[in-house]
Amino acid sequence: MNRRSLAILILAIAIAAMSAWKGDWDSLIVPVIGIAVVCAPMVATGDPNKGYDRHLMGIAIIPLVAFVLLIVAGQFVDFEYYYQVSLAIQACASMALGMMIAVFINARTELSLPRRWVVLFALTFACSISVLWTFSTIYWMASTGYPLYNGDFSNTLENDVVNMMLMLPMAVTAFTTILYAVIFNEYLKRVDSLELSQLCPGGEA
Amino acid sequence: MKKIDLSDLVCMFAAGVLLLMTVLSAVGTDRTAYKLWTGVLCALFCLIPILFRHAGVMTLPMALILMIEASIFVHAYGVLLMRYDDIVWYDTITHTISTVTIALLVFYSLMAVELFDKETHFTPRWIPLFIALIVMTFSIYWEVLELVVDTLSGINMQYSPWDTIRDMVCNSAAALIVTVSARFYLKRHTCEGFIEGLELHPSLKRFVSRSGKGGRPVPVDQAPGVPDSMDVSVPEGITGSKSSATRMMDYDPRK
Repeated sequence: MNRRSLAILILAIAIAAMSAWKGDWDSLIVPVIGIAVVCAPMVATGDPNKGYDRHLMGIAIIPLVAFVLLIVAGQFVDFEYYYQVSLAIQACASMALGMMIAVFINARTELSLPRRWVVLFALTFACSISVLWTFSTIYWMASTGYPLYNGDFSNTLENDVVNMMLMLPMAVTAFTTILYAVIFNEYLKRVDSLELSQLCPGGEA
Repeated sequence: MKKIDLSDLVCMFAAGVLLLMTVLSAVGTDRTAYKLWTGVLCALFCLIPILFRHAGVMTLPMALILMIEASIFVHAYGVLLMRYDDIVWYDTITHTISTVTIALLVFYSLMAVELFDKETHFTPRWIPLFIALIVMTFSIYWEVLELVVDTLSGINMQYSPWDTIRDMVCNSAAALIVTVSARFYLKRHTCEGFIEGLELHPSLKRFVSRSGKGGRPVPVDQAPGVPDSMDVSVPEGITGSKSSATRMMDYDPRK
């Protein structure tokens, strides 16, 4: 297995283990997708060295490392914006993994996507993942007794606070993914379009 | 000047009824600036398909025109007659209808990209996935916009978390309806046939093909009477594994 794929796998497994240990089941979504995305080319081709373009895998490693550091730091420091930062990092990781999914589909089917569509696919993929977090949040709010229905609210302020709690995953993802899309699109301009759309032997293209 | 057809009449009827309702609201006791502006703007939006058709931008299909008019009309009706406040499930209906309309627009746009952009090839199998993802992203942006407006202006577009989740479920269901319908539609029809019926303006074709940004130049109408190679069917003898869109792009009518 190539080094970058191995790094993503180790980081994803570490995040999954730490999330499970903390009981933070929402944070399991990204590492599980990460493991599946990295293993997909190997399973599909039967070649354990098959991976993605090294620029693409480099992009995926950064948020995963940042997430590990954030989880570890969160154990020692009481960080006010921990949840918001964790959402922003997970959105970045989702986008990177989304680009890999687009490349995998590109390489294995008749689908043909240029760079801008790979980035757009990743953006929509990350936003769709945030919907899962939102549904998970409403379940948590319902099970912990938060007011949820129109009739539960006596004033607008209470309504705003609870709405913000629910909307935070989608709001953070919506704003940050636009920024990431611009950055990734610029960064990937230096990668040859053909190489980007292929599964690379050893992930070293 | 194109003749007035049934789709124009539908648009004019919807706009007329909305203007009448707005006038009745204006002379009534429960008038507010928000209601009146909603009525007037929605009536104007109802006329956009007519404008597009007669300006030669594009001719929208009847199904889409009906959905656009229904979306705008139902929303304006709900605002002008307070249906959003009086009927619990009214918001559910407007969200579902509007999302179906947006999903159809996304579907048509993807078919245009499939046909005119040589670098991009979605294939009928994957277009539904893109519709679902793009529409879900649109619905997220819509809910975030509501949150931002609530936060900045202090009004109450998002009533409660339950209301937000119900909106998301409606949007997802509507996206699913169009996604499944698109899959079945593409089994029996081609993008070429559909896009040809839209009578797109040449500059729109150029925009979709991105020929001005380093992409391959796409032949479009240059002058009256000059055939558009986009509209020319693929001649016999051109076969292979390339997509139909690529084959059309490769075809030079002068040969």
